[in-house]
Amino acid sequence: MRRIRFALAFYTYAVIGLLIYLPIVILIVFSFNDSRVLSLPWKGFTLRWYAAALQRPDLHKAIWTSLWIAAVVTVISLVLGVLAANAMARYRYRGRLLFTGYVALPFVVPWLLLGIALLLYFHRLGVPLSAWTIILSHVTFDVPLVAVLVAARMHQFDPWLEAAARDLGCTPWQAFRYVTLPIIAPAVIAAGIFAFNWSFDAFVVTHFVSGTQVTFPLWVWSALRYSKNLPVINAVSSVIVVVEMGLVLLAEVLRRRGGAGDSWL
Amino acid sequence: MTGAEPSRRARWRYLLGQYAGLLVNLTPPLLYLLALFYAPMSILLVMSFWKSGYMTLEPAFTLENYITFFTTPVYLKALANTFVIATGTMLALVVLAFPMAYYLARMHPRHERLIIYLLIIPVEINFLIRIFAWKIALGRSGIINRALLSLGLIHEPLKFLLYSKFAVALVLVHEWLPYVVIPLYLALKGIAPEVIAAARSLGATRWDVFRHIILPLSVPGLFASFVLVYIPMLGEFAVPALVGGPSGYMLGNVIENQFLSAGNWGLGSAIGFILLTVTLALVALVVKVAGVENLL
Repeated sequence: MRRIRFALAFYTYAVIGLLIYLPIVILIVFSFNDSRVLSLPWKGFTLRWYAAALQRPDLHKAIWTSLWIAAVVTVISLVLGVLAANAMARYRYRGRLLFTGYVALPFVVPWLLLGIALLLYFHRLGVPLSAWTIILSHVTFDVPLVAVLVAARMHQFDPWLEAAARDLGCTPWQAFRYVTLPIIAPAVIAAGIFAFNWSFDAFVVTHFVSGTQVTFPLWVWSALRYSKNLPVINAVSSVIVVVEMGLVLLAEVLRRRGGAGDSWL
Repeated sequence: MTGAEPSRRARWRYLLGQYAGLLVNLTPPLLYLLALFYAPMSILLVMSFWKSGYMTLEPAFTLENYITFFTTPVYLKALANTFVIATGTMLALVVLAFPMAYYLARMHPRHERLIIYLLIIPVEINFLIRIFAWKIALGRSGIINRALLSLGLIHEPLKFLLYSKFAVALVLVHEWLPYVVIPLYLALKGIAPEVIAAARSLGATRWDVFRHIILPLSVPGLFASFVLVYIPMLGEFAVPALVGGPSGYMLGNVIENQFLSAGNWGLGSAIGFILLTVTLALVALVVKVAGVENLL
């Protein structure tokens, strides 16, 4: 038994190490390699790719575009997502399950299809592709994400708390603002971080609805296919990897503090 | 609300308030998704029946797009490729993930939480960056080939590592492994220890326990991971485009190509709709076989 246990432990760490972390570690290590070729042999430590990344205005513009788009998308998605979660979790009515399915359906449609459908749609309506079509499209897949995460938290608290607040004279808005919101706040913040991340990283849908706008994933995409400046992408990627890992840890800590327990995404 | 016996009028007012509240919450997301999800998906369906050519699309009903798809060998090959790659990858994922999930759920490892964090954190790293990382590792003069060469394990670079079905499958395994391990882990974690103890005390061997208890009870986890993983893999296009080469060409690439290069939107919509039909049919099948409650 102990030998099986040891073998399984070894196997688990080996698979995680080789299949999940090896490429990421290689990426970060070779962003410090003093060579234009991303391979062995090791030519010595350098920070020049990071310096080069600092001098790329197209890259800065792409990152800035992605950041402000993700910020706007997060705000809209949080408002619509929390409303949807309210309707999914805090009211009892016929059609509640149907509404839940209606909100969750975008989850099971491949993003490629969402992207082409939105491209056709905007074209048909004569809406020119711009940052705003990107925002509208990202909200479409972020609302279900926020709704599901927040509704999961709402299902866990006592609905009578809010009824009690109403009974003591609160308006519906006051009951929401002073009773419900503080309870769901950690879940809302965590959902906001995930929504921001999804928008910032969104490539597939953006690829179709961006027009001439270049977001960060689109910059990476074209750089990967056409550029000779691979070490620069490498340096930028390493920074993004570290920042994103930090954000996810933060979201996870908040979600856990909110008592969402073991409900994984 | 007043005292213990609310008047009929107060009750009416309460119910009216509830309905008004529900409407306020329900309407905006309902309308938003109607306008930006359901309407576009419907347009996709409609336009797949429109007469279409290079950069032209006219509203005249035709089955031409569907006929073109089912009579063009290149497209059928991409369809077959899609199922071969997705199915092969899914099988590899289940085989790889099962021992991990078993270890996590049944062996009480000291670092259970840590291992789960190690699995889920990379999921949030920009996926294009992770594909790029694999390209660095797998290329003909990439790190894996260089390392193997200098260790004397191989004498010339392994060519199948990049721009092949293998490369697509490997990157997809990297992308989706957490989504297979975690549902399986949750399913296996849910098996009561008493069940196993009872079986053992009635004379079952360890193998019997595995074969007749653990394996059947892991099936809901398998269904969940199937929905989470197999379906998105059918619509994949970034991975085959970057590491697949000609032999790893998938349906997603055909669709992308019709929209962004070939300019035949009607044909692209038809192929998209075929993919959507297959996807939703698979979801419906899984929901029917497994039951919704096992998927949530």
